[in-house]
Amino acid sequence: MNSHVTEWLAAYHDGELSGRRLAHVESHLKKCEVCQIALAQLASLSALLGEAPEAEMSFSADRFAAQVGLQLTRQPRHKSEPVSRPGWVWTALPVSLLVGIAFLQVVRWMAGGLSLAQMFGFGEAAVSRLTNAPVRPTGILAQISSELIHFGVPFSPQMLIGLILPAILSVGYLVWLIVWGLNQGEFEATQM
Amino acid sequence: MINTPAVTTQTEEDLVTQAQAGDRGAFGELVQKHQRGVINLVYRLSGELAFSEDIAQEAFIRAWEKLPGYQPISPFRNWLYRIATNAAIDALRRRKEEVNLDGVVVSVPGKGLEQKLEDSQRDEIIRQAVLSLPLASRSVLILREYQQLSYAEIAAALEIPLGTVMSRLNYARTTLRTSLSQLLEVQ
Repeated sequence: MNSHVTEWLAAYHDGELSGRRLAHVESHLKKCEVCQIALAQLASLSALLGEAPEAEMSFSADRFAAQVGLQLTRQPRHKSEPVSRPGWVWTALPVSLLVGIAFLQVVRWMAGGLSLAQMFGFGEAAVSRLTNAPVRPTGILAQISSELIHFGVPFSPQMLIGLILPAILSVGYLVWLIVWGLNQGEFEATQM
Repeated sequence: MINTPAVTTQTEEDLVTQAQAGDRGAFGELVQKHQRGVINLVYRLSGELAFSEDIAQEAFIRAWEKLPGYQPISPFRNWLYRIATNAAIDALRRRKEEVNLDGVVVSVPGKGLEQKLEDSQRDEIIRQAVLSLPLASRSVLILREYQQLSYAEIAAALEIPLGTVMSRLNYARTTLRTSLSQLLEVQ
């Protein structure tokens, strides 16, 4: 006979059944000694487990609460403020980086435009004045320039505008994105 | 420091709302109300009193930090048990389950010495049997048998499907029926 309700006995014992399933298990139990014994075993086990004493606290409830209180932050963290950081700096940083990248791109386009104009002979005098004007790096640029040349890397202001500055700004923006992503993860973890 | 709570008629819901707004006194009352349940939960999981008190404190601190995200769709107690269970499981895993049962204080009031010894041995056997269960099924068993959570509440607390709650509970009970068979026969 395989009509026992063994698989539902634990749920019945825990008060988790209702409706037709409950009625079925109850009516089966009235006539099935095997299931009655299985249910009694569940009840015995629960009773035995219930005998295990509770933990006896090593200090008073007041002291426990006081110790917790000492470790609390000033305010619970709010959804709108996942991490305390000056808001305007946090927003201004990526915007500045993006504006910087856009500015460099515009400069490059303008330089390209001037070269094209020179190639086709438009406004030759003005263009040659602009493009042939001697541009000598000064200060820290001069230092970088001399170092790079020392290592066999030719340095020019075009290289600075076309390569180095965009690379620095892009890396800065990438770092900001990673930090932002990590903060988002931390914030979601607090919303458990 | 949390203020000592005065006699109050405030409901738990009121206290939670006030604590969410940053009222540390209200949170203190919640701590007082639930500390025994949380300590016992961790104690059943770990078998060690000092560890239980440390983890219970950690759980309340985590609860304070996460309080603005709490939504009263489930009882506050269950939400707290969820945090405490996760904190205990994290800590036990960190310790690679090296549970130390020495120094556990067991309260057996009002009994003779022989009876105390006998009871103490019996308690120890039960506690060892529970502690020898895998952490996953132990958590489910404790939340059901000692904290009286429903299957749905356990599923929500441990973020596992209802079917997994039932299978883990069944595994824990079957294992315990074997390991505690001698004590069960005496009953």
